[in-house]
Amino acid sequence: MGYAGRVRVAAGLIVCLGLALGLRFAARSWSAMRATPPGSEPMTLFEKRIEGIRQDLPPVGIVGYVTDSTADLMNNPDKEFMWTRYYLAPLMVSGNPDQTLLIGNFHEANAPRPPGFILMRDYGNGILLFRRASR
Amino acid sequence: MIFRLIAGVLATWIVGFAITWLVRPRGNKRINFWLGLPVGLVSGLGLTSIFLFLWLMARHGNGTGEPAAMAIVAIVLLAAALGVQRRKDSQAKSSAASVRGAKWLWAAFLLAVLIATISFVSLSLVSPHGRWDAWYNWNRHARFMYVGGAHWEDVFLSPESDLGATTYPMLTPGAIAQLWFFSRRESLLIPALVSFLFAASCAGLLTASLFWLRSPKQGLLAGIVLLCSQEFFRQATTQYADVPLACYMLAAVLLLCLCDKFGKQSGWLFLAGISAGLAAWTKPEGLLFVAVLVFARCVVVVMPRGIKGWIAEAVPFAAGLLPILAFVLYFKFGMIGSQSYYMFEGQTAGTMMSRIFSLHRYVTITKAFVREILKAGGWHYMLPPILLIYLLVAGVNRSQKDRLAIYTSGLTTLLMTACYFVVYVMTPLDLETHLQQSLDRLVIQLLPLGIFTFFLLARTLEETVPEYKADLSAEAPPSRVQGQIKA
Repeated sequence: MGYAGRVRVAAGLIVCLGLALGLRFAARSWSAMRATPPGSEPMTLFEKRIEGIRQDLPPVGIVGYVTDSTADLMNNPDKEFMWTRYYLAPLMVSGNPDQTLLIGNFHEANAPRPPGFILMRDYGNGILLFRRASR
Repeated sequence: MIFRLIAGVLATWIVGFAITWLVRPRGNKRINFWLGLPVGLVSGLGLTSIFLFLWLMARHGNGTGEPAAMAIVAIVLLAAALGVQRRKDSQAKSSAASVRGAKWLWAAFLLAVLIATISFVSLSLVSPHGRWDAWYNWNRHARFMYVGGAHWEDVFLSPESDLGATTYPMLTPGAIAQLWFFSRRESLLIPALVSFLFAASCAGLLTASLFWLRSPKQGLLAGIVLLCSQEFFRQATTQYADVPLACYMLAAVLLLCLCDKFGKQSGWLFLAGISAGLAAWTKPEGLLFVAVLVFARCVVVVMPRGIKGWIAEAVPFAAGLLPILAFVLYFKFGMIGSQSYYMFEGQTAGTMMSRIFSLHRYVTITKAFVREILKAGGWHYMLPPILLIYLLVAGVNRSQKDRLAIYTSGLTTLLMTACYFVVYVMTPLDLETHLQQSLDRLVIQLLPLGIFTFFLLARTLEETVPEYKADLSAEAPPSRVQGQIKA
């Protein structure tokens, strides 16, 4: 095979390999999409959980957040804390519970409640709103 | 909503394209047009995000009326661009570049576009909110801009905005919020659309620039390589700012390379400066890129042209760069100056020296770099070997005219890689975790630039395959229209 032929083969190799990998990736992405009905991914489902509390919170300011997950909210937070911060923006949601209002996100019914806070409302899906008890 | 969204995208595009068109060099209308489309889009997204930011600052977070003002700006710029069009292009005929032959390559390119689009859309539907950094940082900041009203700056200023990331620049959030304001709805479609526009522009920039800098088939081949790089498009669907940054870095470098090829062109140098500035407005790494690009360009230009030659091209470049850079520096040190930067947290001379002299760190980082570079683009370790085979078979481009462009692009890519390496050496974070969480994204940032450099360096199909040589002569390659452009 001459020089020109070798160059063509090398270029053809790049194109064929690229397209083959690309097609495989597209097929996998397509399958993943078919397996995930719209609105069924975890973040959208969480948005539905948190939706109810929005009306009872001030639009801006700072509220605290507590959860029964083991995440260190100040340094290594979990996804649900980050999603809460995202959905409730521009309200600031702090991992520091030393606030007047506190959002509770509990996955276990008998998870311990934050001491020194009064339950204002239970939204029935593990999301609760607490207010600091007057000192 | 869709109509208003289209209007928003068009206004953004027109702003960028009209500026590109206004400062374009006289001469080849085709280069200016085809390159102006992606350059205009990414410039438009960046500049309008700055416009929105300034608007919100001036109006205390009230974004009402901003889309109308933006539309007026777009119309004025469009009118100005159309007004000067006849005057600029009347003096030079466009080159008769036409793409002939190698229909298989065109078919492959179009198939690659289709594959990339299907993959992007599918993955975006699987995770419409993007990934971690999107909701933790970029899209959340966009929400503050859109719904924050007078409190939109809380995201930067409040002591409760813990967990870092508030020091990140606002190009991507601004571009998203801009289209939310236009469409008057906080649609999930828009962050995904912005990501798609950047990814598509990056592929367009790569293809169009090599199309004119080297040859049409070289441009198509490079475009296919990027479009088939699944990791690049997977990264775009995360809605992070790494793909936009890659886009601006590529735009800045290729515009400088165009000047090397076609002679000093103030318009392209000005646009290169804007692109570099917008890189700094995209991510903190963009500031590093500005420093690296200025240094690399100085080294490359001073040797053959002397310091005067460098100053001559640095002036229009600085005219594009400095206003945006001043804005970025004001944002970083004026607005959020009290924030701490993780790279400097807990750093003392002693800890830094111990890191510098730790051989284990160098071994760990080198291994990680080799692994990620081999995996680049998601080609299953096959992209570097296959490109190497192509280079060995086709040979190296030895044209004098391309030398400065190759040096600029190659040196910038290498220096950026070296700087990232040093950042890992010095990082106060756990090294393994830091590498694991960020190195793949840094490789994605440099991937388009790496592909661009490679295809500048490799000989083209037109130069190596006799039957394509005829196409090259019929296409009037860029080198042959040099005289027209200088006219």
